[in-house]
Amino acid sequence: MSKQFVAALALAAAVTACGTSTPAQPAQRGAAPAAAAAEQKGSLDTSPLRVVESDFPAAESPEELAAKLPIVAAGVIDGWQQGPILESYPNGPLDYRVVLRVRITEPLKGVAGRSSLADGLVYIALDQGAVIRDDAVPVDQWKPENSVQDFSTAMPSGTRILVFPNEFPKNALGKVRNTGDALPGRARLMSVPPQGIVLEDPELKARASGDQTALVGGREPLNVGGAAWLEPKNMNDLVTRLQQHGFTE
Amino acid sequence: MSKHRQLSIVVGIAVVLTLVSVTSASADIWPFKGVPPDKASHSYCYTSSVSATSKSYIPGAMNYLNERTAIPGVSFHSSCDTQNSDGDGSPATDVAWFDMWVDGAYGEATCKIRTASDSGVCDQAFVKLNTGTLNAAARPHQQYIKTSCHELGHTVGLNHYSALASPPEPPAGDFSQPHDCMMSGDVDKMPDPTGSWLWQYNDHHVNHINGWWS
Repeated sequence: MSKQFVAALALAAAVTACGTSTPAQPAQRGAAPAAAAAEQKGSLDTSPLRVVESDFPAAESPEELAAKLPIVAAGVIDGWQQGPILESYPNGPLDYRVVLRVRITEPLKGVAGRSSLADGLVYIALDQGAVIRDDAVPVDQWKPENSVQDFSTAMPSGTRILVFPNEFPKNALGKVRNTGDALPGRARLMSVPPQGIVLEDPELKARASGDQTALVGGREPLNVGGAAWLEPKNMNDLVTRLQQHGFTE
Repeated sequence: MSKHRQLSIVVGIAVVLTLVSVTSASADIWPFKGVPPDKASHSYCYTSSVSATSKSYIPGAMNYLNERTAIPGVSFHSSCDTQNSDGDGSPATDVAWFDMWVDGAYGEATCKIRTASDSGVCDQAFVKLNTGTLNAAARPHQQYIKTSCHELGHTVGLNHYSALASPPEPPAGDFSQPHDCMMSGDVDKMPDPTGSWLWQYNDHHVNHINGWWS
């Protein structure tokens, strides 16, 4: 047998092994049936949000995350706007942020009396992704691959959403080249941790079946924290669950 | 077996491999919307934010990557650079390291420059180490080691996995593989929190890296 043949067989075995990602395993704590766990594709496109890969301690349930964070609110996407444009390093590319506006309909924690949320909107700054090299112009003129409109098309206004935001710590953004679209009054930019955005997909909700959730994760897939995140089947379920855990205003 | 028949089988297997690899990459789909790194050396630089503490961990992660994989070098650039090779005689820096606050995480990696003429690859990634959270970790020394290795792994195309996920994600999508630094989260909540997995990529991940660079 030739060396090439042996090598090809070995490579075939190795690559096939890559695909065996779900062999039979002993039951593990909190594990949900695989059919219910896989993230379903509906009408929303969360890929513009999934441009950051984080090393983070995942919260094992929505209520665990809610307990850790100062603000929890459900609502609808009000729109998207240009966020701050940050400097990176001398002669380096600019680092763009897009801002997600959420109109609060169900305040659950930390909303009442907070001046930065007085107009009922949450302004969440999110990474806008890479810039595209264009050697015809200076590096600080390279433009982001995802426009604000791309985010709006992927996750349109009116989409139901639940967020776990934080007000940005002072100077956390670094050096700001351009503040982006202005925020009203005393509003402040917020950030969210990797599990801090949950969306309700209208198409998944419309075709809801018994064990599948219509919810999808924003920055990270919903199942990253474990089975408890998959138990609410829609946004009403998730809000009710958090209220039952004492998160209500 | 005749050489002609052997060749036919090898070609057939190669076709199958191509088809299989498209679907089998689910454990390691390229991060950053499926955009892999460029295939040149994997150079790095420090931005002015990087502390002495971070600088004591980053070279270890870079050197391990160099020694463990077929990547052709991990040269250090004294200043971060966006110029192509025809601009200043050396390729653009592949990884720009930062110390910077990020929400709810020990660190993060993002692709920050793509090339219009070759939009299928990432030219430069930003890696941010959240030193406040790293220093507050139950095992800061081990967490620095793991997070540096973890975020660097993203820049060479590795996806992370979560032992908490439902169903739990195995190391590199393969239960036969040992845990490695691509496991997400707090090292103190993981098996063997001082083990060598903190700074290592398992064979599956190394094969993915070498498969891309070869």
